[in-house]
Amino acid sequence: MSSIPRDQWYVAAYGREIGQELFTRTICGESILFWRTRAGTVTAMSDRCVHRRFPLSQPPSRLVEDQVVCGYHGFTYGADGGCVAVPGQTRVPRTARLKSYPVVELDSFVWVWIGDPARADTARIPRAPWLDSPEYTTVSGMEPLQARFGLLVDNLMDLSHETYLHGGYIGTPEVAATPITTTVDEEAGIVHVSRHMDDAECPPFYSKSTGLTGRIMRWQDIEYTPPCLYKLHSRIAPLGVLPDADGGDPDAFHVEVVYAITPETEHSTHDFWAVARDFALDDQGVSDFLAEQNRTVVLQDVAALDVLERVIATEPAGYQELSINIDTGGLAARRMLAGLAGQGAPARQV
Amino acid sequence: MEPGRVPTRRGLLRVVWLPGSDLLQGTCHCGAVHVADGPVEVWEWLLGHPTGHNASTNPPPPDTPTGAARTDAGTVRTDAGAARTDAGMAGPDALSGAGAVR
Repeated sequence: MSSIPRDQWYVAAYGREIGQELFTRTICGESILFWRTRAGTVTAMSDRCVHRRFPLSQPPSRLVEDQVVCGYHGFTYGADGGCVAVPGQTRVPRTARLKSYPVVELDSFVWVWIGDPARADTARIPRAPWLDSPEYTTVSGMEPLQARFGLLVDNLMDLSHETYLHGGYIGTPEVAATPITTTVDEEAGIVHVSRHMDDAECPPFYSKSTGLTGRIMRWQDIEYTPPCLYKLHSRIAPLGVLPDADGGDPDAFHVEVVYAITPETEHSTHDFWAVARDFALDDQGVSDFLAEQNRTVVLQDVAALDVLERVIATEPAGYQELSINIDTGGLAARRMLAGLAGQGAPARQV
Repeated sequence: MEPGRVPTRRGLLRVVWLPGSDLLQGTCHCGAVHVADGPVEVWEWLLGHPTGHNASTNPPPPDTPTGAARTDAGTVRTDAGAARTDAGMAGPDALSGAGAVR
């Protein structure tokens, strides 16, 4: 049985990736063709010609105005996926229609619905408003991961690994040493994990971007909305500086770290990452630094998880993991994902 | 959610890693509280609602020492600190009676 939940919204791309040319990406095992129409909207449909399955993203297939022409036999489809022309005959078969996907552009992402289109409710798309807010400056990217998406969820739900895997970048001793609070909101479908370090070493990622030196307050508040969107609300402040009673927090630095965790297949994942900050908005040097640093950190995770995937794929059945306190949030996320995938909540995945 | 906030509505479950200890305190939406040695046990108990959930259960004092956990029955366990494997949940009763004193 698949571990990938269906009837869900997934991030397929950044809006900037899709222009008036053919673009393809495999999402949850489905090859999807995208392009941006002349009116500016993004289309999403199957990347397989209904005739002989030739990929419509593959040259010599081409986009002619707002129609895609199959490079094999010339079947031609409109932006809604309907076939408008076939070679050698005037009658277009009634069933000549590409599967189309509900698609929404939001917060710089292109979201696509995988599942029954009748159940696609755009109100269920989790938000990351910082990513295209003028009050934040954002750097972002996507790294291919040759590992199942659940391994990335495990990774991001337990940030104690920063201390060991990302030392010298974002990891300091306090991350692994500080207790967490985990909250599951079953009705909203969100797992929260909070780690508030009130006296911590400032890692280079933050010292060089904020200018803070010495010890700091570092708060990490995770908000994961399975299956796809993960947000880390990161607050960095001088020692003893707390938010105001009215909720204002003018003396702290805020970084919203956003991941979109999109299964490509059962054993590979699109690892979208973004870092939005509310300081040094116009400082290109800070943007370049954070982009390079975060990409390096993501690639450290990718290297580790790629290895882990190979280990899991080749091990004998029946391996039993050991979970400790740091895994409290990760276990909650696993259980929620299993429920979404229709697997119930196997005892070992609670 | 801020660490100090207490669940107040249905569907909200919270697990606090008690400061200065290796213990996890689970609070159910019904108000029941249970202290466990690890995450597998605390989720078993929370998801087992209402089995073993007694809203009058008293949470442990903040200075509960590492190595001892108060159970629902108020007894003090002495096997704390021993990591519990996920395999321990694989049995047929994995999600039932999780809050019972063992």
